[in-house]
Amino acid sequence: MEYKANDHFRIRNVCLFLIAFLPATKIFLLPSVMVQAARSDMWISAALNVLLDSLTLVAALVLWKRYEGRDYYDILSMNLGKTGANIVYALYFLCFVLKSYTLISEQKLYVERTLYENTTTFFTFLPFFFFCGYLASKKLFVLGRLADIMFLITVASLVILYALSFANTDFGAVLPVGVNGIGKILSSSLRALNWFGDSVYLFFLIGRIPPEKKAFIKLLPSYFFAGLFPVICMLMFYGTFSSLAMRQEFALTEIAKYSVAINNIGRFDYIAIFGLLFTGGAAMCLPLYFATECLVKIFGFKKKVFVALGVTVLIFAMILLLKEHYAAAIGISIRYLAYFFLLMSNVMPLLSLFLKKGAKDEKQKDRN
Amino acid sequence: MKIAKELAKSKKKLKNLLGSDDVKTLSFEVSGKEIFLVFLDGLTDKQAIGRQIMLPLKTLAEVTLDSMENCILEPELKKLSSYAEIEEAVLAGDTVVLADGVAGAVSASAKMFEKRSVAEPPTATVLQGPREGFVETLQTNVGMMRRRLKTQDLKFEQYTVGKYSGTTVCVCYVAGVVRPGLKEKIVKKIREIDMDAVLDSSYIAHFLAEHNTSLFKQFGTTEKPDILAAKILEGRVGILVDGSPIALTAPYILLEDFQSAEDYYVSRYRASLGRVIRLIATMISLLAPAIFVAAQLFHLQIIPLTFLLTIVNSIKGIPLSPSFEMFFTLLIFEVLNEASVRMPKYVGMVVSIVGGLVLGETAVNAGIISAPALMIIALSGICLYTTPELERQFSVIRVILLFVAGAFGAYALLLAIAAFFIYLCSFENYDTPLLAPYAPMAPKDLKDGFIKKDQGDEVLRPVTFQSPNKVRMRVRKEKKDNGV
Repeated sequence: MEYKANDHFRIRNVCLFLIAFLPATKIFLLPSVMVQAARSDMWISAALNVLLDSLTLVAALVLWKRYEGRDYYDILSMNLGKTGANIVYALYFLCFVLKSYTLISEQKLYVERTLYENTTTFFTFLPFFFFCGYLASKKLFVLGRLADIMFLITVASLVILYALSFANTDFGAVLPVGVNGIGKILSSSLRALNWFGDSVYLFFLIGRIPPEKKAFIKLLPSYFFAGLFPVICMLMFYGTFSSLAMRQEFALTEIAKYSVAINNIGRFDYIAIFGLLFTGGAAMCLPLYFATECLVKIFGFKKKVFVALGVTVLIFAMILLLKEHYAAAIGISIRYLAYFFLLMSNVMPLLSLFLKKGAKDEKQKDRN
Repeated sequence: MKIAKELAKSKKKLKNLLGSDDVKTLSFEVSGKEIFLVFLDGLTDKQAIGRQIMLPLKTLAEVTLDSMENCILEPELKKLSSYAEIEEAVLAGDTVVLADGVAGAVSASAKMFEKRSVAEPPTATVLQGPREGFVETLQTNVGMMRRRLKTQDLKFEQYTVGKYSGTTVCVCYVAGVVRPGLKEKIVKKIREIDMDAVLDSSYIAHFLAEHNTSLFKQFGTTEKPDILAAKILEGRVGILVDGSPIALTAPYILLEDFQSAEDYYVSRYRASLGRVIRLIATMISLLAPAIFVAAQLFHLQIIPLTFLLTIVNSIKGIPLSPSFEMFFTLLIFEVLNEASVRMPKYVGMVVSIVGGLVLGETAVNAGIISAPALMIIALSGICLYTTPELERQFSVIRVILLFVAGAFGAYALLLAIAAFFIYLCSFENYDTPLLAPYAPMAPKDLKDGFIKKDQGDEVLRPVTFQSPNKVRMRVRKEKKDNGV
């Protein structure tokens, strides 16, 4: 298979992609969701999620090595037939749409409650859907290039936020470790599955990544570096608020505001918050982007822009219709859909390791 | 149509072809045969015609095409065989010699026309480094390039474009350095241009662009031969147009407009500081009006309290809404800008005093606009000129961002900026990403990025331009003397 010069991802792109987008979605509402179950051990739950996703990442890399140049749809088609591939992609489409519903709703809520306190209308969030549709209509290489720029903004913003809140964080609050019991830690991890599971995106990139040496060595540290940020966020969130953490809704605007520097100068932490909203905006669109990719593959659409438009209208309608039932919807997502997300983001990728038909090694064996 | 042996027929034919008052003709007899000269008034050196063409011709014993060619004392001579060739030569400023009984003609280049002398271009003045700038004469510009790159690999290819203007467009590149296929792609597009006249290089830029509806420019421009030489040595192609002092370069990347010629003649620390300042200034110019409006309308909490009090005091009694006030101030600024550029130099100064001091001061005192709004627009306007090449594009983007911020607030502003980034990330011209070397990241090319490394570290040509000749300098490292 030929890799077009301007339409592929390099391993470096994937590394930066993970760093740019993985932490940006997990610091808005997620800490307050996780603290409900695991309390002071919420950081362990986050770490477990990161570890779980690392298995997905390894599975994607194994598949990438095994089927050099083939995309996930081709791999599924070779092993399960066209219909099987279409069913899997349809399930992924559903998974991504449901995921994006929670993420976008969360972003909407955050924007309305913290940035537009006095002028909250649906109108203020409307531009997000234009942005979403625009990004979803772009080719994959654009995501890679965007990550090349945005990873710096994500890292710088998080470092600023963490540095500001570091002095007020009592890390002793998370001790003793594991006091809430393994059940609650796992329950918290399960609740967080809607936000985690980004490694599964790699399955939709594998056909575009040219062969490269030492891919594992480059990717895994980048992934764990990216995964470290949400874990630190959980630590700092609980360290800052301790038992009051249960009552906090948005960690992002809360953890840094008690800094001495902010008291003296003003809320310049908003620079970092805006930085994260900037990269977060793109990160929230990723499920929709890959949902569009799924539809394009299933139906073989030529004009991606119309599919992107359709998917955006769908999510817009969902958010508009469920505007008043957001809490109930997110409750369903946390309680029931978590198992579906576990299946699609973690179990299915591991099951993909059994796919071997048409693999590079097998072809070589046949030739021999 | 072939040139006839009979001069009378040729005269008649040429009268039809070149019937214009500025076409001058001259006849005289040599060895019993009539010799006929045709040339354009205003494009030829009459003294040279007399001294180097007529005088030698009068010494001829026998008048033939070869003898005429041999005796004329001009370095650029050409034998012509058709009337079309005569027409082309005369219109290009050559003097054509015909003789009775000779089926052919000789053209001699005795051109002389008024031209601007080489001077420092007003758009690229430098404190350090060469001050020569291109002029409107192609030959002079080509000469300036040749003087800088004395290599046979420097190639110039000339094409005539424009149905009526017959303008010479010259493509220059360094063979072996330019990416294979790039020059051919540009030449193909030049050959396809079919228009009345090419009066400036910007005329052809439109035809060579790969995205005609794009807001962003797709060609680099320069008025300085040292910059063009540096650019084509990186693997770009230069395009010079007769009659224009502005050379085009392709492929274009956005970063090059943040680089100044002077950056290469000063220390890398100063160059890096200059580039970072240009970047920050550009961000201020684009975002300051929009952020100010968004903050006032939607996000008062992000403004520090003391600054907020200052703003509140200054906007007290202002009848316009924050966004309308900013649009109004921006409009006045743009009007003043347009007027001062187009007005005669001396009136322009008056306009800037009246506009900047009197109008601004009075508007604030009268309570029509607030002092912070005026200050922000002034700051934004000044900052925009730190990257003058991008002024046109960025002034449009500034208005768009201001509109978005005024209508939807800071969150939409963030999304609009992100959307611009997405647009820029997806933008390529001649297979080169506009945001290179940052997106896609080319770590080796970052040496000449916003943080500039030492010139000696830039051993390789930028990978962005995919030059087949990758090495541009060989640095000999002295063996370290360990003192043993």
